[in-house]
This record gives sequence, structure tokens and C-alpha cells, in this order.
Amino acid sequence: MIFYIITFGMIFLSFAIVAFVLIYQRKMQRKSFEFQQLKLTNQQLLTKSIIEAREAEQRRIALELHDDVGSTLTAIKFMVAVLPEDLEAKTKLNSTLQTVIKKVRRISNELLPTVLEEFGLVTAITSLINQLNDQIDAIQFTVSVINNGSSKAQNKEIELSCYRIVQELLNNIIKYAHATSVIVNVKQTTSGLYVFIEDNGDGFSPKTHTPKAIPTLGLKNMESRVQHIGAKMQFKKLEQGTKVSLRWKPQQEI
Amino acid sequence: MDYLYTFYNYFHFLPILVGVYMLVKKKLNRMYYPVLLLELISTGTDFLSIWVAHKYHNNLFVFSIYAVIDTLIIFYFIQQFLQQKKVKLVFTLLISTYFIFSLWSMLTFGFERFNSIQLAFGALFVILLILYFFFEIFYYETIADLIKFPAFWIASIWLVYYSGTLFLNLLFNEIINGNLSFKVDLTNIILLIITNIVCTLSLWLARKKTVTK
Repeated sequence: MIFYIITFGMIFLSFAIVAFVLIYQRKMQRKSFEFQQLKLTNQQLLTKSIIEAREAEQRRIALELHDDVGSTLTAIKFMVAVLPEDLEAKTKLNSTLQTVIKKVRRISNELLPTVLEEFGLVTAITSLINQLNDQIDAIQFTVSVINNGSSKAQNKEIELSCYRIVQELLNNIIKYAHATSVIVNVKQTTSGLYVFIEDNGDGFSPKTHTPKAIPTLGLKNMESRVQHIGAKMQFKKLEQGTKVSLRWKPQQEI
Repeated sequence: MDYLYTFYNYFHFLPILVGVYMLVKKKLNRMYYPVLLLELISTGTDFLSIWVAHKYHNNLFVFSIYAVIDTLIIFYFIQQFLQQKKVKLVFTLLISTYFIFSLWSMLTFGFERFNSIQLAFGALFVILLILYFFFEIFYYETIADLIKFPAFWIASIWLVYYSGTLFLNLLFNEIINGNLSFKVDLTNIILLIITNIVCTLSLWLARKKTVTK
């Protein structure tokens, strides 16, 4: 009898241990999952705050440059024009001032593209491409636009993020790709926004590149923005060059 | 009892059938080969012991040898999932000591006697090993879903079996009271039937990819 009591006691104890391990481990896993989710949410909120703070700061600097510094420089330019002495020095000073005014305008526009605020993303990208064609001779930029839908679905935050991503991608092509031709396709439909950028440069894939070859900060910024607006970005290394696709769909359709 | 014993013997074939089928189909996870090997040896030992009992009347040496092989295979199987190398080394030293002790025991006390102490040490070793395995499951949190982890179920049923048969083995000589037949206790048979069912299900589960972190 004692033998059976001990034996069944041992069996019961073993079952209890197994049940404890099973229940407790599942409980711990659930807690760990909840913690990971919380961490992810916090990280997303932090990224959102950083992006918003950066945009606000850029907006402030851009307005300062445009409204204050730009206006002051224009005023100086007119004051110089009416000075009677030394025509040669006056012309030189005028030219320098003109350059500074252009630079301030360019910086201000880069920080806060007014065309984006006023006319939307498609026009802003077209304007950016035209600017680049004017500034850079070595690369031929081509832009094609298909606008089949209203931009109502996209708010300014989405448009600004997409614009910044395109800006960064083009900047990277100019700096690192050694490309001679860049084709930008922008497609805006009621179901979403699609941007395809194709170049004929060295070719790039984020999976294989090393931080030494191309700094990762720009890439990380783009990733943050893509994640922030809930878009999808894909890099495809071609035989010659790279094709990047950026797709954004309204939240309920993702 | 004899009917139950015959019934139990059929249960031996369940994990073997499933294991061999998956082995042929190349679906069995390599880490679970020792479980299939153990089932094959266990079945072989049972039929061998019946034949030996009929021919020589004393089949107990078969069980003494089987106990060592059994413990060694269980150790090999469980240690695959252990993370701590130092602890693995400690268990390797323990199993080596157990192996030497078993050999010494068999040579000293003879093969015609059921060596309860040897079996009890083997069972204690397995219980300790499985409890440590459970501890590592807690500590390292490497398993995402324990229910889908076949090794956990195999280890669990082995824990139940070895805990349940620990005292049975210790008092085996008193229980059979010198009657050297192949009859085994009811508890042992029931536990073995459950073990075989769980091992069959676990082997079937092992064909799928285990969910880990």
C-alpha cells in the first residue's frame, strides 16, 4: 500500500511539475510578447516625435531664412544699388549679394518646399527634378507623372515624408551611384501613391552594402519615414543601376 | 495481467511505425532520431527478454544492459537541447560514472540478479537531467510555443515514467519475490502505454518545423 502511495505521489508530482512548466512558461512568453509590443509602440512614437520635431525645426529655420535673412539681404541689395561711388566694387558686391540671396532661397526651399505646401507632391517632385536638371549637368533627370486620383487621400504629413524620401534617394544617386540617367515615375491614384526611381549607376542593395561604402544615416532616416507613414520601400539591384519603389496606400487598405 | 502485457506490447509499435514512416519519407527531424532508436531498442529488448525467459528462465541481465543503453540514449537526446556547456560537462561526467558503476555492478553482483540500485541511479539521473532541461526552458526563453515543442512532451512523459517507476525498480526484487518471470507491475505497463502514445504524438509533431524565437 505504501509503495502505491509513494509511486502515485511521485507520478502526481511529475504531472504537477510538467503542468507548472507549461503554464508558467506560457505566461512568461505572453508577458515577454506584451513587453516587446510595448517597446515597439514606444519606438514608433519616438520616431514619430523625432520626425515631427525635425520638420518643425526645419520649418522654423526656413521661415527665418526666407522672411528675415532673405528680406534683409534684398534690402541691402537695393541699398547698394543706389550708392554712387566705385562702380566696379558696387557691381561685385551686387553679384555676391545676388548669389547669397539665391543660396538662402535654395536652402529655405530645401528645408520647407513651398511648392509642396501649395501644389502637392506631384508638382513638388517635378519641380525638384527641374531644379536638379538645372544644377547638375552630369546626370539627365527625367520625370513622368500619372495623376489618376485626387491627393485628398494623402495628408501633408504623408506628402512631406514621401518628398523627403525621394529627395534623399536622389541625393544618394547624385553622391554615390555614378549614374548618368535617372528616371522618376510618380503615379497618384485613388488607391495610393507610387514612386519609382530608376538609375543606370553602380547598383545598390541595402542588404549587401557596408556602412563604409555608403553612410547608413540617410538610409535609416528613410526607413524611419517609411515606417512612420506605413509605406513600403523596395530596392532592386539591376544589371546596371538600381530601381527603387515606394508605395503608399491609405491605412485601411494595407 | 497477461492480456494487458500483450496489449502493451502492441503499443510499442506505434512510435516505431510513425518514426520509421517519417524516416523513410525524410520528414523526421534529425534531433529526434535517438527517440526512434530508443523505441526500437526498447521493443527489441522486450521481445528478447521473452525469448530469453523461455529459454533460460532468467532474463534479468537483459534489463540491466538495457537500463544503461536507455539512460545513455536519453542523455544524448536531452543534451542536444541544453545551452550551458559547463552543465553539459557535469552531466557527461555523471553519465560516465553511472556507466562505470553499472559495469562494475554487473560484474560484481552477476547478471542473474535484477540490479535495483543501478536502475534507481539511472532513473535519478534522467529525472535530474529533465528537471534541468525544464529549468533552461524557463531561464533562456528560447522556445516560443512549448505546446509545439516535441522534446518538451517527450521529456515530460519520461519524467512521469521514471518518477513513477523509481520505487518500483527499487523494490522490484521484493515485488516479484524471486519469481523470475517476464511479468511486470501494472503501474509500469500503464505508464509505458502512456509513454508510447506521447512519444508517437511527439514524433509526429517533430516532422513539423518547431517554432522557436
